Amino acid sequence: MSNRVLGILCCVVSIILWFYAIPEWVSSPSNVTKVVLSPTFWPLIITGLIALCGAYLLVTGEVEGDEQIEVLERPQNKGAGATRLLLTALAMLAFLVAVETSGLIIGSMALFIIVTAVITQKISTRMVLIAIILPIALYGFFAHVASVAIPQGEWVQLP
Amino acid sequence: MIDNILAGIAIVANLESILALGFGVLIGVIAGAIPGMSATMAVALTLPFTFSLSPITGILLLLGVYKGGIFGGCIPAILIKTPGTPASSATVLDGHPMAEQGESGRALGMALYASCTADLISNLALILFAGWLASFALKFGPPEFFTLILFSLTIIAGVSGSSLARGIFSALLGLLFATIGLDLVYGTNRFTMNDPNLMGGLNFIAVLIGLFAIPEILNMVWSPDKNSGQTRKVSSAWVSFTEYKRCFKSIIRGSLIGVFLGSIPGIGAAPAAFLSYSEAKRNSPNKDNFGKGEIEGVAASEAGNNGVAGATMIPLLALGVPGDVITAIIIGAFMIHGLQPGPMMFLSNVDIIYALFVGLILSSVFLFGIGSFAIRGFRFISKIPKAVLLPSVLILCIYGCYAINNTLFDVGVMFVMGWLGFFMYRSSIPAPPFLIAFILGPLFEDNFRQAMLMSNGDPTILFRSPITWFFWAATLLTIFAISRKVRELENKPAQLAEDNE
Repeated sequence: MSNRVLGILCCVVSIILWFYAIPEWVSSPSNVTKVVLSPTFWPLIITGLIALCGAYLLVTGEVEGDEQIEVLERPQNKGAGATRLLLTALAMLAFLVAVETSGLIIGSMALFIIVTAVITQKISTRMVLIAIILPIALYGFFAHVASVAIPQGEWVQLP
Repeated sequence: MIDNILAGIAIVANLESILALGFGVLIGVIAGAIPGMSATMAVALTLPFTFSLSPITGILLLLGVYKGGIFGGCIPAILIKTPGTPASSATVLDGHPMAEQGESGRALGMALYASCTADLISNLALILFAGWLASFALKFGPPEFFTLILFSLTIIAGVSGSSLARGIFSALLGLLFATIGLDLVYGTNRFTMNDPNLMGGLNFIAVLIGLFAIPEILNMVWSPDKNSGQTRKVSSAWVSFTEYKRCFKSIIRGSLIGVFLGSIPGIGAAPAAFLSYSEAKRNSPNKDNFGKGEIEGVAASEAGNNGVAGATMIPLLALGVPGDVITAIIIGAFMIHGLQPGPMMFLSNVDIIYALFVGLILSSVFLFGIGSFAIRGFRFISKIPKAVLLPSVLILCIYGCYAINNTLFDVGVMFVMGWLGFFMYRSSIPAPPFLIAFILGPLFEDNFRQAMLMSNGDPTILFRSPITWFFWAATLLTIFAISRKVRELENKPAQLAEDNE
């Protein structure tokens, strides 16, 4: 991301924070006598500094040219990369939504298989074995050694 | 004093105590090496097992877990870019690039040597300066803490990579995220959107794992052809004595930073590691190599975080004030066994104090032996292909993150922070400044507001003592040095262009 684009992003973030997020989501009691003691003081200071940072990036982007800071590696097919990311995001979202029903063990097994399949484009027996063994081993450790109540969901009940 | 030391040795010199200490270090190293299983969690989980033991055996077991846990965090930090504990976050910066270059053996070896050296120095400092250093730290009030943390925030310049402005933006985001939760003075909501899960703020471990581990997995998903199926080479090369000697100055400096910050209650090991790393970078002839796999960076960060471990016991033993969360748990162990740490303990139970000193020195030796063994066991993680390792890390992170508070909300926070970390990485915005600001942010704000409450809003309280003057001067000097460095870097391309013409 170039300095100019990042500068614009900083300014937009600070405007949203100053005019919407802080008035809407930061409550301050009416009896605050000193502004420095108000719960809004610190978020406002940070917002101001983000705006200043954005202005600096914008100015340096204009004056010194808009060069990329460093070139990062990209996949051979950018569209396929974006699709893989989208699939992973959906898998994570589905995991969070379904974990109360599926339990952490089955949910983790499914997430492991999906992420591995997205990366390698295939599902091998070795992957399936790891997907089954790893969550069960972690369950054994956390539930029986660390005494953490791991949610098991409605489908499987391990001892 | 000699009599006291001999009395201490007599208490520790039995199989039960030695086994407890060794077993504690082993549990700590294993717990520290599992991402999400922090040293704090390991000490808390071990505490109930000490009830049936004698006071000294139980406390030595907990101290072993503490020391082992702090060191163990460096193993996954170096091998899989996932700090096992917050304290080893700085180790990722150079340790993981070294592992990527097939030098995990050297990185882990240096981490072990630096950790053991710093641990020994920290323990000696505890024995020599317990009373004096703790009385100095007691003089710190909110204004002094505020100026100290302000100075600590200047280390952001050292971990901002090629663009300071981007590093500052990242740090500001970290400060902003740290404000989420209930306001500590008035108890009102800040960015909680009335969700009770957000009222306690974002869980630090969830943010940490999200920022450092998940982006690795997403990068692999984005560009698998670059890494898929590759096995990283594990070098059999171990760190040489020449390399240890070259890094010795940074190790000693880092140990002393750790001792100083560790003796001040509430600072913790992570800021010490980052400050030590930043100072090493500032003073090293290889400063350009920092962040790309510089062994001195690994040595400095590990010396910084391990230097804290003994020093946090200084306020605990001398004044009864815990230096961090772990020593707060250890204070509980003292009380369970009918002991009250503090100045009176030096009079009534001096033999136990010296037994602990002897035990702590012994723990450095155990750390060296068990650490070497653990490294050999764990470094084979590097041989696993990334396509198998990274999804496994994802599952490990989910379990570790869930186990902190037994809530799936933290897992959600980890995912969100992971995506934020990934977009930051893709946009060349460094993640370490975010993390440092997120750690120091609440301390910074709380101490500022407490100081303002004390003075009824008068800002001159921030300049009230020589300690505050010292930290203001140090901060200004650092900012001056940073701006000079930035100007030099900005002038370099212009100078080169002129020379070419």
